[in-house]
Amino acid sequence: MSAVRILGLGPVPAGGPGVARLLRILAGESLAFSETESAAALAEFLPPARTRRLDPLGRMALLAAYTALRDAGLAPEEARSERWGIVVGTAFGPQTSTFSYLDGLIDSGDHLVSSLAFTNSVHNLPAAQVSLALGITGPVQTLSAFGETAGAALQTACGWIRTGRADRVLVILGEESSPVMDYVVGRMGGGAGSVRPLTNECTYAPRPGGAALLLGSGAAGYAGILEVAEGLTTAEAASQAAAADLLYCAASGRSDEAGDYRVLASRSAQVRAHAGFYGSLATGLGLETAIAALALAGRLPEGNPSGSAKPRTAAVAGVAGPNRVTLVSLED
Amino acid sequence: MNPREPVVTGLGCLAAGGAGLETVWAGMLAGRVACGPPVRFAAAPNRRSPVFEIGAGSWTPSRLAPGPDSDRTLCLEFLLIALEEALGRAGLRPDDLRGRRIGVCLGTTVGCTLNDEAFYRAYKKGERPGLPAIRRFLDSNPAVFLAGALDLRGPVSTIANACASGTDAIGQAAAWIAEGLCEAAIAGGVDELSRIPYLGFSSLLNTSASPCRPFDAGRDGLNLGEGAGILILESRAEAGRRGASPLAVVGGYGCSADAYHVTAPHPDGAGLERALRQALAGRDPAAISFVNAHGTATVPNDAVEGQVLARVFGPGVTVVGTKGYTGHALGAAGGLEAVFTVQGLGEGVLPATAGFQDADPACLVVPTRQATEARHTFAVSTSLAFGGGNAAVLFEVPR
Repeated sequence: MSAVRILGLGPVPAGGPGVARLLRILAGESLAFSETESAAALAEFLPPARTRRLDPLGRMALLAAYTALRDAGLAPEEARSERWGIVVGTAFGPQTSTFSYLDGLIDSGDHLVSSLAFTNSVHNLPAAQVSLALGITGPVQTLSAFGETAGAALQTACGWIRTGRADRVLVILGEESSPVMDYVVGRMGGGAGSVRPLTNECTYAPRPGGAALLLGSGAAGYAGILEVAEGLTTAEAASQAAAADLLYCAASGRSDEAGDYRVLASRSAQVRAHAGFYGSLATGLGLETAIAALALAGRLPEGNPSGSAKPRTAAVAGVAGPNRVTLVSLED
Repeated sequence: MNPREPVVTGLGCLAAGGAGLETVWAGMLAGRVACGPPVRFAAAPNRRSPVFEIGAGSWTPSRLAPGPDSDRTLCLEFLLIALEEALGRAGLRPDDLRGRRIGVCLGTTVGCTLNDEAFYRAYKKGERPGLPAIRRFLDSNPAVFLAGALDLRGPVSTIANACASGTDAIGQAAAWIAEGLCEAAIAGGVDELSRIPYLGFSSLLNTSASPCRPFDAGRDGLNLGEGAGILILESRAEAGRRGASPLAVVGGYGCSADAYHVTAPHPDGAGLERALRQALAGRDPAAISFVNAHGTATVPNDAVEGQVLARVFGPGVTVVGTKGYTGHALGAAGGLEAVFTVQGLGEGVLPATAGFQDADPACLVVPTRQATEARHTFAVSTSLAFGGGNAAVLFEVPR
């Protein structure tokens, strides 16, 4: 079985895509999410006419995918293959289209619902849009299981590569925000503060964003081997996380300041705290894994505590599920 | 024998034809079709497509995971009922699974979508609705719910691949077992009827105003359905350790994307053909017993699918379409059809394809017109999805 490596990163944290953007956030810049900036970034890869009818989640998925390819030094045409696959993980799916469809139903009646909004509201449409744009004709899946989503997506991709079902897989993990979700989070007691990982406190700050990870075997774009541990009990996961490099803990301190992406901790208290709702976001693990890969490559900014992880040999990103924790480790 | 070979040891289902595989299968062999206007929800008079709805009196809540029934979605009820049957057929009790590395991989569409109309209407009016509907949604993701309710410690995934979700879930669960990630898994699909997709499919103009007619020359669209189709998968070693007799082997799985169109299949069907050839895993296509086709009864799906089946297996291949008995149950479709495929292999007989009467030359294949013998060792169930996804899973039995 082949070891799975990260060949390219396509983080879409706040405002715009790319590793440089993520590094600026990690260095302490506070950047707000901007649909306009994201749309401009996507226009580098696809004509706006091609993407204007897409749901924001679909556009984010495309932006993340193209960014990961560029980061890996690959032209988009190289993805046009039945040996490439796509796994999209999203806990809540295309929210804008989901609620836009309901708007049409409520405002105009049963007979005038929008077929476009309905189509775009189907969870697997972002994956389909990436497949269409890049010509990827291998396995394509969309997973949606709250806290299990991101880990399961990475595990699925690793399995495909290890067993020869695909040579390269784009794993795209992300969420939209929406006024409805903001309302829900507010009613649940979150939204006002920032995330405080590795504490027993938990506030929720929903932010849109995501990340694509281009996975494959062979020569590594980033140091390390990606492994997904699953089915751990909370105690097992807490123990592993504690023993591992607490890279994401340091990074999450910056997340507090930037307030634009989430880093979830895997300590048992945090597992419980996050289990119910926004701890289930798919975005968290995608960005965490990207940060871990950057740390192992020695690319985290100086001055950030995470930067001291440079010579270390392992990093762990974790996301909490109701009864288990998924860990992603990068090991030389 | 490969100790990690995934085998099927239990089957359970719930569909418009009733609760329990024996009931549903007997109804199919007898040609009974339970299709009518939606009862549980209303829609504008010009939305007249009938549905395959599970009657309120045809099932009783499962005892598998006791809980406040009012908080449970129909999806979860359907899932538990089918699972209870599947576990019973496998000779397993819920306590046998607790705390073990058992995976859960389920396909759904409605079951993972936040489309609570009443909540959203209230929100839109500025009424600041409470969150019971949201909490219900958060507590109802099928795979996450089941893993928590039964304390299962293996991999967990809910696959949202639209109409191929159930087939992909079975393929993925089988892959987990083959990779050694778990010793057994609960796999399949579950979905419930809802106004939201009902009106959405109507807006796409691909529903029929009459009971659907898969592969028929006069077919004019699908009918939605609901239900659950659940398989208990185990490694051959685990089944052997328990002394369980496998009903079938999961002999192959294939999946691919068309990269062609978000709602229409690629006219050359190359993606479906790739998925089928992956699932065949080197077997002689001519030796197939039958194909349980996706067969939605839409004009493009059945034409493309029929042409691919004829190309891969030959125009004389035995094809059955079962959506004339269940409707298109979306995320549950692949689970239900996999259950029927294993049952057909085991019983050596297939039902007639309900709704089919006149062959369509464009389809190149002619589905079963009456109960038909199925005597060879392996069969394939196919699914095609929104977004251009294709999936095929192969089951095999010893003869």
